[in-house]
Amino acid sequence: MNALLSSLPQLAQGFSVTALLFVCAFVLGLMGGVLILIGRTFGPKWLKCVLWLYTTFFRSVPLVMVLLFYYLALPNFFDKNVVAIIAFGFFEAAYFGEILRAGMNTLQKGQREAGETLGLSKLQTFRYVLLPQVFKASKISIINQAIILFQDTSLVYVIGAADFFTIANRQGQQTGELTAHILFAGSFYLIVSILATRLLIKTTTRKPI
Amino acid sequence: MFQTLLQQSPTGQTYALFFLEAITTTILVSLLAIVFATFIAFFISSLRHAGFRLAGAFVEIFRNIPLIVQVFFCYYVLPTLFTPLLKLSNDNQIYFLGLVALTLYSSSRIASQLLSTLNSIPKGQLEACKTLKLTMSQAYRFVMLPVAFRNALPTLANEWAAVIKNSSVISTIGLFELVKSSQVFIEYTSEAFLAFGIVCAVYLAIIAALSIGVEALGRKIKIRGNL
Repeated sequence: MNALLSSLPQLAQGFSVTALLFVCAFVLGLMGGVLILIGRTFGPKWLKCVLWLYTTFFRSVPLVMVLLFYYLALPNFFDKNVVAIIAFGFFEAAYFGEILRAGMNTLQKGQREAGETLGLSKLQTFRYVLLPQVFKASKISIINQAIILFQDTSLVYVIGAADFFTIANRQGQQTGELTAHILFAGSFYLIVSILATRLLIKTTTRKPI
Repeated sequence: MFQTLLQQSPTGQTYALFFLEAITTTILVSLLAIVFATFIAFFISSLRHAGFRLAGAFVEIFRNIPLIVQVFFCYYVLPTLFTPLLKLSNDNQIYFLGLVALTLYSSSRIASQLLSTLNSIPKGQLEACKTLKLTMSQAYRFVMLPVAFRNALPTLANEWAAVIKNSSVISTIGLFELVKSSQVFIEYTSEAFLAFGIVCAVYLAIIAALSIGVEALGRKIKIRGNL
């Protein structure tokens, strides 16, 4: 127990790295997902094919492998956190692209045509008419994927980045109380994920009139 | 480039066999995890649907803790708690405990999907079972679960693919599976392109085979109507 208290400063630093990874990966992934959505909706046929290949590829390989690949491919001067963020960005863009595409399919077909009738260009239709509705439709799936992403940030252990779990593990092995540290890390992820899911349920269910 | 595969590794076997062994390990671990996790998930989700909150707690716990934390817990913490549990060799212990962690994590994910599928089945089915004086276990075994399985098959296919991808996490405790073998291969020969190419191709092939298999299964058990 004492060892756990004494490693709190390092754990706090680890948590800051985890938070950084999560936020950057989420933003990059979501932006990439929107780009993929634009490409798949309005792009020429070859672009649609390429994006389909990209999405299928990154959804079929493990995240561990993607992390290791980017770690080996990018030159040495890249900070490990940056490597992780880039890898997560590419990986999550595929998932968010698929989520947004599924959300887009639930929209009425007339929306896009109505936008064009009003004289909006394709990009304007997308930005002012389609995209807000896509986000509203896929809000739950996006937040679910965000919670999964938060848990997946622990996988940067395989490239040695100093995220919360890696530091908990390191501290546990250094102080000899590995059990306490692993249990603490597990409870931490558990509590944060459960709170986030509860928050999601509260903000998405309609209040009875 | 492909000639490297026919060369000998420092441990004495050709690299082709090296990868083949890793592929076999991955497929075996994934298959065992899928089978066990699906069985456990069907059981747990039925319990939760019938009203036992403890089953819901189980699902929440194992679903919200990252897999790598669970793997480390099973490998480093469990043996200290249950010291005389099983005296296996270190390799077997990695395999067994890694499999346990993967099974528990996957079963909780599959159970939460099955729960939403069970919730989507009209309540009249369960009430009809009560009318026919079926016990709870009979009701679930003969009426609810077959329908849930048929309806949830696409989602189950996604979850099974996730099991195959998540089996790579067990490499963090030393299991010699596909991702780890590629890392070792790169250490020995520094042919990164070939290594990653093989790994990606194998994962794509396995998941494509899984998707085709599940689609065929879906067509075979499909019945007309909305149930």
